[in-house]
Amino acid sequence: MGRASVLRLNEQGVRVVGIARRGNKLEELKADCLYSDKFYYETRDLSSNIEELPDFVKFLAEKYGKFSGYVHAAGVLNPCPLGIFDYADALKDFNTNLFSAVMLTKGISIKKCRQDKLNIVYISSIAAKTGNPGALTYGMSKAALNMAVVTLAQELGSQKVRLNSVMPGGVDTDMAERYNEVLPYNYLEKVKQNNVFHEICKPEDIADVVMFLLSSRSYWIQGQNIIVDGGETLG
Amino acid sequence: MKKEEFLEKFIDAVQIEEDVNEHTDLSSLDEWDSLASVTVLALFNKYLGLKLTAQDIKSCMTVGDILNLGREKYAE
Repeated sequence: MGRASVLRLNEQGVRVVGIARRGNKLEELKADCLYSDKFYYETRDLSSNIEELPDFVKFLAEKYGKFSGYVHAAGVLNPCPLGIFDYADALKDFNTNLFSAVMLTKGISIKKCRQDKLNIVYISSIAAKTGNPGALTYGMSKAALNMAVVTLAQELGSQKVRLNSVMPGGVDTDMAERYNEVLPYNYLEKVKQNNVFHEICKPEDIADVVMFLLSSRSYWIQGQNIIVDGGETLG
Repeated sequence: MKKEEFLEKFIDAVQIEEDVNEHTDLSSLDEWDSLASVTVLALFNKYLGLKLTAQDIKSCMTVGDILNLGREKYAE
């Protein structure tokens, strides 16, 4: 979904700095950009050295200019039923899904790193509400991410920072693909049965909502975790 | 990790309370369900660096079949 969001922003001619673990994926993304000269990237693992992230944002702002938006699309789902639950593993996943988002937000909300108005969008998940057996850490981290949205939107609102999240249902991504492989049933097929359109959500469908939340057209939306799941959770 | 150690991890993670050996039928274990299969995949990934799929587990009938999936990765 991060990738789809970058491509949508790039189509609009917006300058974007992509952050990811692997340089080859970022290089591929750059090649797919319509305006590849407007896409920059840095490699950074967001599962460790979290305390350094505000300084990392300062470095980025000095190198590329002040930011007007930030999308947190980093997320990992490592299946871990309770029998194999491990604190150190969970902490690492929390770093990627939650703490890196908070610390990057801490960095980017500083005046010298951002423009007068700043729009932040986190990619959460309906798992924050529904949970999934075998995905305890994932669900907990996304529920906490939702609360970061609610709390920080109140703290930062008066400083012209808007903060919201998108909660997708099942989306056709590499992560869903891997999840599919470890489940005894076909996860994406189940998602297809459960939503009202009986289709599988594409990353672009989520990226469109991210674009809206990054734009001034959504100005009056603040501190919301918005379900975008084709009715999957309507029951 | 040795095969015997992996068996210990398996018993512990799936929270099996009966006595098991390589000949134990998975279907005879109360604890063996779809979530246990996810647990086993996570064990292979964590301790042996093996990325297996639910299909690999589906073909297993006994505890020995499960252990056999990691045959190339065990320490002597």
